[in-house]
Amino acid sequence: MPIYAQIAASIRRAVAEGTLAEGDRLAPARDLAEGLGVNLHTVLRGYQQLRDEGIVELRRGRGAVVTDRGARTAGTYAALAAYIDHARKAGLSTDEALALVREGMES
Amino acid sequence: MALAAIGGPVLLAGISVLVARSWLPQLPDPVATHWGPRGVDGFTAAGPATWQAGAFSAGFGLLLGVLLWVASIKVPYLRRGAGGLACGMAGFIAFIGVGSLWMQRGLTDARLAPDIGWVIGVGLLVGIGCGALGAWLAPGQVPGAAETHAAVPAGAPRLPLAPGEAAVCVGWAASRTLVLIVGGSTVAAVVLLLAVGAGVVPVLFLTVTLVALLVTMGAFRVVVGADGLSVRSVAGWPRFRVPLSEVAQAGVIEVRALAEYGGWGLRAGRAGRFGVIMRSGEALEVARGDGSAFVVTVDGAGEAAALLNTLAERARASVG
Repeated sequence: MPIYAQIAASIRRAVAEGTLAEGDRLAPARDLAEGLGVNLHTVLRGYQQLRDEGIVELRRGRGAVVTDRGARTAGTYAALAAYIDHARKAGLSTDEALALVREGMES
Repeated sequence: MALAAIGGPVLLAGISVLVARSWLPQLPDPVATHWGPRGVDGFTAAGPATWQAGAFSAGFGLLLGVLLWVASIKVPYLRRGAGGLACGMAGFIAFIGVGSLWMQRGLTDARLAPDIGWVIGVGLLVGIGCGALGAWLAPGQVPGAAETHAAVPAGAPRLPLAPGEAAVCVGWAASRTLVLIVGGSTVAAVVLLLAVGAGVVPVLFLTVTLVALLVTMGAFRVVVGADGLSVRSVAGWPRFRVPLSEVAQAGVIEVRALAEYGGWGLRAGRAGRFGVIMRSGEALEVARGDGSAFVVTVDGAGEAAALLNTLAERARASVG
């Protein structure tokens, strides 16, 4: 996974887990870039991906802020982890588990 | 080190005495040496007046320089500050002495000496200039002196990171109270100065000084990551770094700003501690390889310390 996508994924996960709530501000991209030892544009690209997904809003002067839509996904990750756990115990394959998800979402 | 902290004040004082001496034939005797709210109110014989300010300047500068120099043996962060403060203070005092004599040249009676306001104003600028020069001349920390190859102690907190996983911890070292106090007193001082009919220059000078103080000392960004610890003011300067190679151990301490550091801002404490102290309470303490420690008051110091220990350990393992 490219670095910008890894950054986006870890923030997406923090929002889904509820570590980041609605209205919370992400760390300034410059600080994140410095701390991770990556280019500023790599971090900004990750933030832009999150904006395109509707998880954060990018506001001038305020930086990246978690949106209500992003915050609504809180808990999803934990529920998903529990589902995966159940599916494994039940001996379902990845395809079978995914099929159940698709069926459930589309019904 | 000694050159800036001790040689600087002596040199500045010496120059001021030589310059003042050269004006002796043109000076009234006695000369004005003290100004009160209503103008000149103190006089000294011209001869002694030419060296008194110089002696005071050298004495005060030396005192500051030597005190800070001794302190900097344990706290290497003070090395530049020692040279800077010693030269700055000496330059300020020496300039006021020379400036007050300069404007009395050609007078027959010292009671006619003009107001000293501009001498103090220019003296402040000269002092800042001398201070900057002294800080620049004084050697900073010796590169590599604080490095360590010892393993991070087993009892130090760690963060569970997968091999190759990057992590970063960011926060603020800032005090709203401090900003409000300085900001509030800036406004109050400007209003007061305008009310008593002070000129534009002192008002501007005070405002610029306090605003500069606010943006350089009001809030600091704290980042723990691939390069270790970085603490940077919102203005970008001053900035402090503790690279991973210098991290002996990081931990959380409780700081009492007034009792342990004598106040807020860039402070030196006991046992080789130096840091950005913006409030009392939770702080990140990073012990360095030379026995000194950098402290910064920041929320979430526990996570930052754990990450710093983990990254330092990883860096040491990769170096071998």
